[in-house]
Amino acid sequence: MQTLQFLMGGFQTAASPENLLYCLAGVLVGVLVGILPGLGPSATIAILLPLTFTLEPTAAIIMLAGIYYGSMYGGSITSILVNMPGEAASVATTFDGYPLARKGQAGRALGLAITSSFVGGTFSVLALAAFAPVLAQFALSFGPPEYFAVMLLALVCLTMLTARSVVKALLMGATGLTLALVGQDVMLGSPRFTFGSVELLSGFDFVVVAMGLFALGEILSQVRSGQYAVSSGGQATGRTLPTLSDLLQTRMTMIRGSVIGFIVGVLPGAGATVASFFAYATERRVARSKELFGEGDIRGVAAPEAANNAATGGAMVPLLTLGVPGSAVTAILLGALTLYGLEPGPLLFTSNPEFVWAVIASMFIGNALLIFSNFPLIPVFVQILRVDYRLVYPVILVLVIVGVYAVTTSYTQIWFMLAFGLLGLLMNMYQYPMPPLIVGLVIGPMFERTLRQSLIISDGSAAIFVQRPISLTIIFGTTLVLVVPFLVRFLRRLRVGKSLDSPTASQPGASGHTGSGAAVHEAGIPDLENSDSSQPVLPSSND
Amino acid sequence: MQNRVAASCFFALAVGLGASAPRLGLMPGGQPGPGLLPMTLAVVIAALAIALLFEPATVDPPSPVSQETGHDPESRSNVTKLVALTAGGLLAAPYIGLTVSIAWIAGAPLALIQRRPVWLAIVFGVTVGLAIRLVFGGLLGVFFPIGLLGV
Repeated sequence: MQTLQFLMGGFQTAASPENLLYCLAGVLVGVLVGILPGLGPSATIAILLPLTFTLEPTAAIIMLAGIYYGSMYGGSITSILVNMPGEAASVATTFDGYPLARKGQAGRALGLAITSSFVGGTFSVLALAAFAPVLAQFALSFGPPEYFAVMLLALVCLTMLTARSVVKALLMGATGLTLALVGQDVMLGSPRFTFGSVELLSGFDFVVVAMGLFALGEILSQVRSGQYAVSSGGQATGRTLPTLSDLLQTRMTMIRGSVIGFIVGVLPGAGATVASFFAYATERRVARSKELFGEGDIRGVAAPEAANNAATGGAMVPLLTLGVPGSAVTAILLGALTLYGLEPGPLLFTSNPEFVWAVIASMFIGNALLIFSNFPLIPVFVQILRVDYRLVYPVILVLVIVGVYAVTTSYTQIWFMLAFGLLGLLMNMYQYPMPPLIVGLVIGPMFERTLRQSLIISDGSAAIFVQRPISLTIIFGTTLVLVVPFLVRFLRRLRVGKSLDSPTASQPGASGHTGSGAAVHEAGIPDLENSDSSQPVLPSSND
Repeated sequence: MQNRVAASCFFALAVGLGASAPRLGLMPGGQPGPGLLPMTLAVVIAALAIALLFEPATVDPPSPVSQETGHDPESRSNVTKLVALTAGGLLAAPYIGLTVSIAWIAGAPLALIQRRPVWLAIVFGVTVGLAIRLVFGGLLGVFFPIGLLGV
């Protein structure tokens, strides 16, 4: 009952004309970002952060959250029309969306994508409103050891799920924590790793690092690959409003996708990409008639679209209740909240309930805006596909530079950003994942503070982490996340070795995938790593 | 080879962290000090750097699109050009002012990387520079340092 009252209060705040405008702006920018390949929600939120500093924190977060879930839908437009997902989370949509477009049913696929996104987004916000206060209440009993354990779990999950190479991902997480060491000591305030530089006394500004890695790094990667030269012609979409029979046929698909998306979204590291693949694979598994999957089945569009939008609401659960980000986007949102003077965590629900509930309510409104604004705007978005990216990247480049200057008023910080941009290019080239680094940087100070506070409580004994039931459970879970994939890989190799020894074993492609994407391949969806030219172009999954 | 270079860099980072940690204080008076996490990270990074040596080397493969549209050595050298043009604009910013510097950074790639007409690059650069100045300087109140030309 109290939740409902808070939610109503949230609606009152979120429905003010000013907040509605920012919500609409966020959703539309998000859709645009999703359409333009390369520039993901992380980069966009980082670029737009300086523009939001003059806004009220509630309006700013409403707009940034709008970009987040708007981009999930935007990515599906290019997935369906030109087989080129704007976001990694929209890759699964190409499997059936693009074949539908080739059959002349692009409008039908786009209409269903919007509807599924709306269903997924609305379901996840309802679930967020229901579960977040409960989790926040539970988290009030957390002490430093529990928080440390949760952050360790988030970082480990992120490293295990976002990259093919666990070693590289763990190295990036450790590098992020190392970058967070620069500046003043979190407890004593003494300078550390500043090399006598005044600029480094306050540490690496998270906006500088995020803009460098995500925005500039992405620009440089695209210039290097020549991908910016792609000129994608839009095509006619036809009727976009879904028919009643389509809606009836996909109703359970949308519900299943929404539930999967929300649950996967809550898990740190999994995020919208894994959610969309998982939902697609589940749908294919439970479907009675499977023959149309991959050839243009509307369920193959509805499932991933419901899931990737539901995952955005799920990802807000650990962010708002624990102050722990599970992905690069939520890490940037966490950084933004801190910049606005808010401290995410269980206390946020009691100290700033109007803010939390306004953000949650705005996600309801944003999803409604998404569906009402996108049906008439689809032809406009299709035309945007014709924009020459070679004219876009210099604009993004100067936006990034001025954005950093606006936040820091320092030329030195622009040079730092340039250095991080080059680092981002190298990371893209050699497949070092960015999310663990940015999450490590953002949670670094809290990670160190809770570690040291825990050790102070226990007089220096690390046993405190396994003596308290909640932290013991989380540490046990973390160990499982770390150990199980290696164990599974070992067992699979053992099995493959045995089958190769047997005289009947001569099937090609028997070797197991070593990366974290193995589950996706096993789920029976098209092979992305060995894709031919008919397969979609995979965007960076750094978001 | 690439993994060996990367592992060396990470190992150097670990050595640096490990060497600095005792000076910062690991457990002064039995309490965790500012050097504790750096030392822990040094050990973790060193171990992972060694593990990296046993990882197969991976470089991002050229995508089907880039194969069609020109993933060539010129595209790669364009990165160097873009970074050089940006760095040049930033170095000159204290003398030419931030607005002119931005116009240069936006317009120069069009003429010098994309080989479009110079007039187009100038028009594009000036338009972007003015638009950015208007939004950030005019609307958001960001101070734009002026250069010797007074712009």
